[in-house]
Amino acid sequence: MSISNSELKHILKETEFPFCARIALGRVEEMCTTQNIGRTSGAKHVDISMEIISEFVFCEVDRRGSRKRRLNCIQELQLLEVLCDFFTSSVIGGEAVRNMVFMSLFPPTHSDRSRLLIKLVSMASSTKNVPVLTATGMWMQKLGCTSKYSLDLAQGLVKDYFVLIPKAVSGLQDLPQLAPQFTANFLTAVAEMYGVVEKRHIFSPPPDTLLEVITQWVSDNPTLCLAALMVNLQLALPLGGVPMAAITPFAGLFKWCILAPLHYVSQTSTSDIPTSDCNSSESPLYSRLHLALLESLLECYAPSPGLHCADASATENISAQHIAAIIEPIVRWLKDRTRMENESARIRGELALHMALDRLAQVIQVALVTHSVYGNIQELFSQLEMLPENRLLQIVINTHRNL
Amino acid sequence: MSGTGVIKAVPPQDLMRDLRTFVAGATRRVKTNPLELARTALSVLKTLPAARDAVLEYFCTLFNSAVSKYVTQIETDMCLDSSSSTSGHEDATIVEIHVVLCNFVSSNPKAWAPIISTWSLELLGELSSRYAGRAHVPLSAGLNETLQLWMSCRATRILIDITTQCLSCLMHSDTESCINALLDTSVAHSPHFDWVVAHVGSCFPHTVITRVLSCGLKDFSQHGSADQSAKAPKLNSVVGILGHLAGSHFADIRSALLELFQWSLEPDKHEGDGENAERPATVPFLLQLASLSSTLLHALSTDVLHTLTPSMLPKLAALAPSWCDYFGGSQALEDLIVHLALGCEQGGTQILKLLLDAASPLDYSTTAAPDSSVSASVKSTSREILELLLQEIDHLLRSTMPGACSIPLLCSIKQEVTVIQPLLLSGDPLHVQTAVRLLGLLGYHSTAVLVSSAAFLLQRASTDGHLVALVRLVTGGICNSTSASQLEQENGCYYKTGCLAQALEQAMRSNAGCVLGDEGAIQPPPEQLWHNVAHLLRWEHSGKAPSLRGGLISRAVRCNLQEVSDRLCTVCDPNLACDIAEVLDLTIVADRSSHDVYTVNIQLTLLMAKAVVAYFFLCVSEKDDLVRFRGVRLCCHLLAHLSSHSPPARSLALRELLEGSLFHSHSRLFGAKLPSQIRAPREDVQLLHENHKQGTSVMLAQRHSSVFHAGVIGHGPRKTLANQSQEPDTVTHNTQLLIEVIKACCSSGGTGSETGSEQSPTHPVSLDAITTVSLLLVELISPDVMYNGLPWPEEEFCKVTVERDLHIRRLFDDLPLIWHLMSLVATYRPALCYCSVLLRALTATLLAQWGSAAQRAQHNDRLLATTTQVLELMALGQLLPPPLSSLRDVIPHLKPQEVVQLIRDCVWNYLRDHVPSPALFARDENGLMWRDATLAHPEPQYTDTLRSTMQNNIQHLGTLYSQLFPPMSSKCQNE
Repeated sequence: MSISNSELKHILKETEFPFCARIALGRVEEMCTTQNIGRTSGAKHVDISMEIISEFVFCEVDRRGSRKRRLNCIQELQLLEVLCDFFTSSVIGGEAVRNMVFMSLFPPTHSDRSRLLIKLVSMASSTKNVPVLTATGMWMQKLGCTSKYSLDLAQGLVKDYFVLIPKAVSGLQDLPQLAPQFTANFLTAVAEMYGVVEKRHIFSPPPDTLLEVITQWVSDNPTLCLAALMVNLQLALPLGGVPMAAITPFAGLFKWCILAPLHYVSQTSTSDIPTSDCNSSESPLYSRLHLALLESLLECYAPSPGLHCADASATENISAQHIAAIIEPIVRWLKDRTRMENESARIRGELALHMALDRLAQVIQVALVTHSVYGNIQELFSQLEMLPENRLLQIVINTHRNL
Repeated sequence: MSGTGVIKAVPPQDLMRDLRTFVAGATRRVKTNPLELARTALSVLKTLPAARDAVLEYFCTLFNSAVSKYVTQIETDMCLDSSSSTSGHEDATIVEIHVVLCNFVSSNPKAWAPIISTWSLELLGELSSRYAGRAHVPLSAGLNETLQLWMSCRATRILIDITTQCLSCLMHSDTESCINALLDTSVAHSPHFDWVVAHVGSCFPHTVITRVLSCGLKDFSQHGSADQSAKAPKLNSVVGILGHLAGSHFADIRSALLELFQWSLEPDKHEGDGENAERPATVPFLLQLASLSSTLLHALSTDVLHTLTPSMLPKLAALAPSWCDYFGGSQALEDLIVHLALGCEQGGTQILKLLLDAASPLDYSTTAAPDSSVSASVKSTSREILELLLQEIDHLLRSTMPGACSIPLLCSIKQEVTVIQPLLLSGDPLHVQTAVRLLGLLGYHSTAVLVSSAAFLLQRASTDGHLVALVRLVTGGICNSTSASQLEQENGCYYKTGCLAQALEQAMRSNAGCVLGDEGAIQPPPEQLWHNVAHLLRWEHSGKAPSLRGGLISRAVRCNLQEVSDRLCTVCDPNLACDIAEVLDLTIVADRSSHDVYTVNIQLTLLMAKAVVAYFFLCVSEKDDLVRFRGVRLCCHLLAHLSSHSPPARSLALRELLEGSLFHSHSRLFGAKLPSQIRAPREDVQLLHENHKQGTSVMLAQRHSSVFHAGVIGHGPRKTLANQSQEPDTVTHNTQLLIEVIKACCSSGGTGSETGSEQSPTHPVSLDAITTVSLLLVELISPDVMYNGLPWPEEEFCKVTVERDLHIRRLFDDLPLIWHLMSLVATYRPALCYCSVLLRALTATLLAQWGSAAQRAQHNDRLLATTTQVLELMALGQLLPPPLSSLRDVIPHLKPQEVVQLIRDCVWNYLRDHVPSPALFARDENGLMWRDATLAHPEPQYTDTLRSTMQNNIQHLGTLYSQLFPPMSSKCQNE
């Protein structure tokens, strides 16, 4: 605070690229700290910090405010390095300030910075830069895990780690331990990303590596899916910040597991869809994932005393609406299935359907028993009536209807 | 580095360290070993996805420096060995990079290939434009040199390899974006990037060509609708790429263009708005492509052109207004089309026919009337284009030296000139005019075209219009009408004459061919040619056509006189012969304007004479009187002309006439009594079969069943042909005609310029010629060369020559024509003197016959008739002076003994003592030869026998006697 903003700008202009970014970041952090304490009014500071970020961190504009030549890739890498270093080392204002800085660096208004954000998160994942990942987790949650920004980020990460360089995945094994909130939010986004129902398909399967890693994560860390709920957001957020309601990855991942058998059986029966890139049979990973998810639901019903989560939040794991959303593709699949002529395909379809319904029934049973479901449960039941006859499902319905 | 991380394993530390090393090295803050740095970069690339772009960018600099080193090394021309140390590590890194990137691509092509291919294409583009013009390869260097330069550089070669690998992965899934990337880079770095496209294109020709075309079209339809179509940036690179690929994948290009064209004509299917928007732009796009590259024009003209038919034109016409926008108006479009058409190396006739058919359709069924406004616009536009095209060719030809200018379209038309030629005969004036103009233009370069076309017309022209076209074709070339000086005009005239002469020759040759029937194709009737030539000649003589005033046609015919004569000699069809003869007549006789300038050489004259004689015999054998008379008149005309100008021709003609009429098959026409010939019949009967028919049973010797047909083996049995004797009327007629012709031959046209006498039907006959006739008669009739002299020997000597005498007599009996010929000769005294030997032989045989008749005391009418004829001849020829000349009147009343006595004393002895010689004759004031009767009065010793015989038979010969032997008083008075 010893130097005025104009002086600072002057100094920054004299400084070469990577260093000016470093200095600028420090300055922004300072401003955020003062803001967080509430000493200065926000608006003006926000403007100034935005200017500085734009001009000296991302070098998007020059001194006259006009557009500058973009940083080349190596400079970008340098910037990423600086950013990583900055977040690792910034301890002045604690988590709230860090998140604030992060928010101002990547506000939803600057969509062109999302490319850099993806790179930053990707790099942080490989280098296990916990502060950055944590801040990202917050960022996702604030903007909404299923929002476009989060989905873009998730998409970029998946492309980096699971499509382009599958070998780098090994570096992600301990991500849930390092940044559980980020991981949980990432899972929610990914589940949403692949759960989106396309026209012909009822379900777009994720890459095998991704599925494998997720299964491992969930089975190794039963509390992972609840991570988003367990953090006290209010502490981490800057003054006056309002977080979005957290969404757990449960519903999305359950949807994968339930729809997967149907998807694979319809893929084998209709030959016109090329089956070159995905295995034609269902991966056993789905059932493992299913089991892990159910276990983690049970886990949070009997919370270990070490966790500081409230019972109230634990009961709001899964929205009844989200479960109901799984039913609709199944019904649609049933309509399509009537066109199947082949006898053997029909039998296989029957088996797959019952497996899907069994899994659905299991999910409902466990969710209801653990009181994880919130929302209009009656509506859910009425929707379940539409499904074909299944013994397990019937039992579950009969059991809980009466309650 | 901060150590504040709560949990930090070792690997991330390593990663971070690697990253920092890489960043430091890449930004040149720290001096590092380049190989080490590259290894770090690769490891970062493998482990840190976020650094991917940066690493690739760093690789760019690596490749760049490798290429730069390579280029400078070439430039400084260093020794090969000294460079190895510097480039060693770079090569090694590059190879490593290659391996890593290829692994990435092959492990997950869908994800990696777009990234790597974009990167490598961009890098290649940058490199090739940055080092363009370096390394001893000039900017203007061809593609091959550039290709060689870059392919011999390791860095670029590896890049190309990576690119093709990526593309081959993508080709099946994502062609559009691939080619787009390729084209975009090509646009950005044109023309230095062309070698890459060429290389890639030759790896995937079909895909690249079709995609390049469709990308170009898309671009064109977006940019091209502005005023200048040249704005479409990708067009040039499309052309460049296709041009490069044309070398090895021409067929692919052709089929791709054709597909595109056909696609554009398909009706809109409402499939997608973007596609429909491109359809109308397709044809302008193709035209634009063709205008930019002759190779593509060639490709278009080979395939697309062939699919165009007149029936498609209305459809195209509907689209045309929208095309104009691409070129800035219909004018510009037409200009472009004309220039493109001029550049076509193939299908020239196709273009022409299309235009013509559209401009004035012969067949109205193809372009049906209902949409008349459309068809009218098609018509007018086609006319316009056609006119522009012809004008442009004309202009080009005139503005260059002959032979220097080459218009591909003309060359193409020239190759298919047989397609154009039939247009000359078209009923449509536009077709004819166009063909005439075009052929005239072609003829400017190659006379052969002109000649063959003229020949074509000569043979086939059937109306005046066609002949006009011919005249225009020959006279309306390029060089003549404009050339100012006299000399040039003359040259032009000679040139044209030469042309026409050659054309005539060609026409005759093919005409002869068609007579022989060597070609089954539709050939014009052979008479047509001669009709046409005669027609043209008449036009020329009429003097009404200014363009023919130079004697163009007749000169041309004269050049071909030999061939004409040959044809006349060989032809068998009288009508055809008549036409040919007419042409001959018109050429050499009727044309008086320049015959003094032109002298026919002897050989030719002889040939013509021979031909005319042949024609004469053909005429005579003709049944139709009208044709016969016309022909003979023509012959007379011709022969008179020929023989009056050339003595050799006369002798030849006479000999031919006589020989032909006497001894050859024509003799029958003149009443010759030929022995009935036994000829093998023409029917297809085999002797063997005929003989088989006879003996179905067992053949026994000495039985009549064993008598076979006589015959010629292979020709069936002999049959006696009925001797088709001519009607006596016809014979007389024919003989008269022959005499006419001989007279014509003998006519003295005057040695100089007695042109007036030629026209009169009665020519003064030259005595020399008649003498020739009589000598010829002797030569032909007398079998001997000895004793053919004028003197008559003792009667006893006849015993020596009796054989010959009988032979001669036999001929006289068989060939009544001889008598007529003899009387002709006798008419023109003293020519008969030379036939003395014939008369002698006749008289000798008569003597002998009368002697034998006297012994048998019987009267022979035939003998008497012959005797009368002989005596008449002698009297006519004034060989026997009065009163001996009246012997023939006396003889019929006498007994054979008396006849013998008379002939011996009055004829033989008189002639023995008075050798019949021309010297006895004297020329009077009229130029006629006469024998003075007063001087030649025979002595009593020759007349006494006659006198006493007449006295013995005075009861019959009283009146005659008083005339022959008037009273002495008058005789004394006469003396």
